[in-house]
Amino acid sequence: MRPRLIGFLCEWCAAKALENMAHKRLRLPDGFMPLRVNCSGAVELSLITQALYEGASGVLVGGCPKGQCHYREGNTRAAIRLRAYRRLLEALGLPPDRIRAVWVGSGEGERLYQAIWQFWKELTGEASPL
Amino acid sequence: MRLALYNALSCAGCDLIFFLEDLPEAFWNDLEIVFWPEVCENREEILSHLPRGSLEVAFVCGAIRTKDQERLVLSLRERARKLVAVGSCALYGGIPGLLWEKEEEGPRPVTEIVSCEVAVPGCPPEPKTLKASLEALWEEKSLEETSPRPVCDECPRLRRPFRINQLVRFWGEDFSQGDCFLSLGVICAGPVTKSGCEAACLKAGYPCWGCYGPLDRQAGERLLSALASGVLPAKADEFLENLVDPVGTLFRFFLAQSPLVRLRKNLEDEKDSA
Repeated sequence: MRPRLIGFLCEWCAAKALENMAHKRLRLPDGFMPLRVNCSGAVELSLITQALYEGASGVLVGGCPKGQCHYREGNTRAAIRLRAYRRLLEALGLPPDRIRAVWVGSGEGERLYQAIWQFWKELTGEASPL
Repeated sequence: MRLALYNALSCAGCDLIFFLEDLPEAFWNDLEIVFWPEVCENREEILSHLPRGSLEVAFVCGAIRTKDQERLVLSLRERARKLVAVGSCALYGGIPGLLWEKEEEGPRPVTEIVSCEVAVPGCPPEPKTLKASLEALWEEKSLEETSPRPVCDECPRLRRPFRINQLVRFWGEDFSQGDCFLSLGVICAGPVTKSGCEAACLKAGYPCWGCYGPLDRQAGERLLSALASGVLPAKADEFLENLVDPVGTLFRFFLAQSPLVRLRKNLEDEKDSA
């Protein structure tokens, strides 16, 4: 099966950063599928399980930088959730490194680009064209 | 009335309870128990001599682990006109389902192997639930299918907005009085568990363990999401430290049905074929 990377990006920062990156005409991995969500804190763990179960090789959760969440503490909650989820995956013998969080500001398209390619490389071995 | 009772992988708490307490009177007329390995001869030949559809009702408790158990349940399904699955193990995998945590393949619930006419949840089922299901079975009407509601709807404890300060393990202190268990930091599966037990444990001062079954298959993750969102950010490290057994606490009765263990199995199969 083709490797897929699902990105849950918050609409205030990470999805804006993706738009910012789009202006630079940078190529993203073919299997990267971004999804815009209201807030990284709105990404329920059941969604991540579903994504993994239905064939995603990795799940990236993107949110605002620490302390700059549009909803005050959505990203803090998301961070705690993902840490707890990783513990759950470890306890079940699943690889916890398939889940990753990235905190970027709306202007940091370049950083998001690096983070996506870095994660993609770890999952599939294919490196960034740059 | 010809009955068969069969306990697969279970603690045997379920079938005792329905024989001792609440078998509806209608069942006692001309009652003939054809097959009950726990009290009579446990020979499969007894079953294999019976023609198809000759049993009125077969009760099955427990999860299915071995090939023999699977064969027996399939043969019961063939011979019984109605099959009743009783207890959390038969419906969701139950406590034996936790074997999936460490083993490659654990026991499976009965409902995944054969179709069942009636499913009675609980560990063990509350007498009321059992009676209602059996009466419905007798009168050949289906139980009203309402959308499942969480145990919280029946819980008598006071609910107020709260943040979780720390996780507390249940023993040691007296929790019989007070607000919602989650606000005290005790993990309670009420928000993600189907109601129907009339919050029996909560009324007795215990947190919900989730035996009436999950509201959906990802209930464990939902509970973890809720807990992690309720924790004060400054206390996050302490929270993770005190979450001693995440699988056993969050997936106590339905790990066998969780997509996560299926995912692990799929990954292992992929690795083997590659």
